[in-house]
Amino acid sequence: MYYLGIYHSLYGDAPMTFGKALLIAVIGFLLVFLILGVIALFVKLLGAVFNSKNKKSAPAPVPQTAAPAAPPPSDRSDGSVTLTNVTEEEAALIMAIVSNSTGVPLSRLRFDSIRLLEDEK
Amino acid sequence: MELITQVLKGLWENSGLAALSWQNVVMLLVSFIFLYLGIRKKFEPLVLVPIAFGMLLANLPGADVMKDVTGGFLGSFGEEAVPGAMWYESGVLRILYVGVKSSVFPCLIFLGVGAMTDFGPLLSNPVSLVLGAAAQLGIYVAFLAAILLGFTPEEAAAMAMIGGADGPTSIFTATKLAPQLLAPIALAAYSYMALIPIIQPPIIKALTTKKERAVRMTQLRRVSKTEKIIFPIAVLTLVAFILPSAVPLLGMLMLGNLLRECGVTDRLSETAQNALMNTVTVLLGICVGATANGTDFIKLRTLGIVALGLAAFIFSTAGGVLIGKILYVLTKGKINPIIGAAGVSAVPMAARVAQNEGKKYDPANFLLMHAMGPNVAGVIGSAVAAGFLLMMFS
Repeated sequence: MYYLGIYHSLYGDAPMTFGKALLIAVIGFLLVFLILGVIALFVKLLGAVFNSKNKKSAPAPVPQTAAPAAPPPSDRSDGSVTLTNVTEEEAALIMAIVSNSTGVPLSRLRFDSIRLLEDEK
Repeated sequence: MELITQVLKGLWENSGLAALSWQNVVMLLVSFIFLYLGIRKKFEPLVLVPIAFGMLLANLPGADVMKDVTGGFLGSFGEEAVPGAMWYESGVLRILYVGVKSSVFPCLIFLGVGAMTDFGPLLSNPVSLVLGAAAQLGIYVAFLAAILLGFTPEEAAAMAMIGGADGPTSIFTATKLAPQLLAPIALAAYSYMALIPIIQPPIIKALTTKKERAVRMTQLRRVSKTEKIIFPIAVLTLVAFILPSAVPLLGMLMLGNLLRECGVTDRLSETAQNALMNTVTVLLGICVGATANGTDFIKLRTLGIVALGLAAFIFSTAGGVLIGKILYVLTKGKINPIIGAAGVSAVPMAARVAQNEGKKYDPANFLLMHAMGPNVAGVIGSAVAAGFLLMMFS
């Protein structure tokens, strides 16, 4: 691909002074911030749209008539874990290892999913 | 008796030892060190081992794996054409080098990187993009330093890209702006990427406090599949409108990512992540290493490029960490500045370094997914920086 080099179209083949180089460096750095900033705003917007959509589609909370349930026993955790290409035994082993190596009880850990990754490339 | 003397003389003159120069010896030693670091110390072996072996092959006297009989048609500089010789009589690595020279390999690597990249951490924490932008600081610092040292603007821009810690982008920019410097730039970029576990920790330690390094970050939000599909298409379109020169690299990155996320091209994604990526990594690595022939490589100017590249790398890491510190203050301690260092785009090495550094100060601290956000943002950032420099000087 061939582009029109902005610098050469402006200054020809004149040697670059430090002042010009500084200006180009500052503009370049700001441009990176600008473009990534615009992407960040877009991502934020996208997240907000999908969050509100998810909230709308979520079932309405059941009115609570009874007293709040007691907290789960300290040696158990709740919720579900999505397993992909991992057996239940392997998942249990992984969760136990994480809990043991971090010193955090299983009841305070939340696992969303456990997935077998391909060999690292 | 005379015949024996002549035969022995002929044997000596045609042996590798007679053609061995001290520069080749130095580069052979460097290749042995790189092989040691890759195999024994496991410093990014997938990158370092092919590079080191390419270096070894290129410096074996008489092997001529990078010989160019076409007089420069296959990308060499200063080699004279052999009359009557065909291009396929060149050295085997010289022929493969066309993939580097034409930017085919860097673009294919980006396809594979895209297919291996999960933009989820970035989507769930958009502030990662700011860290990814900050970690491009080294590119511009190195550009200024190179201009001060008397390099042309094109050479300075090509060299500066080493600071992005992104081998394919560095090669892509160098082939367009300063092909004569491609060898040292490619080698420096890939070597520093492999040496991230050595280069980054001291900078992180010097710029952050123990309290900052021990910050635990909150769990990331769940990102929907639709968001992940929209992201590559939208970002590519957006960047192309502002900076079309970044499209070849970013386009391949986002294509790879779309193959991964769209859910209907699993076979293509699988190929891009594994077979294609592995093949191109071997070819690119060995070709990049083979450019480091001691006779051409050991020159003051080349060593200057390597030194400048290291400075660029250090400044990029520092830029990410310093913005991380600012975010730490602004968010009242919710962001660990270590993840700023992952804003250099060496995926996933830089994120792994952030994870390991965080663990040193709190063994139960898991920064990996948080660091992956700036890390993949850095890939986009370095492609944007390259696009800007190409637009200015190509």
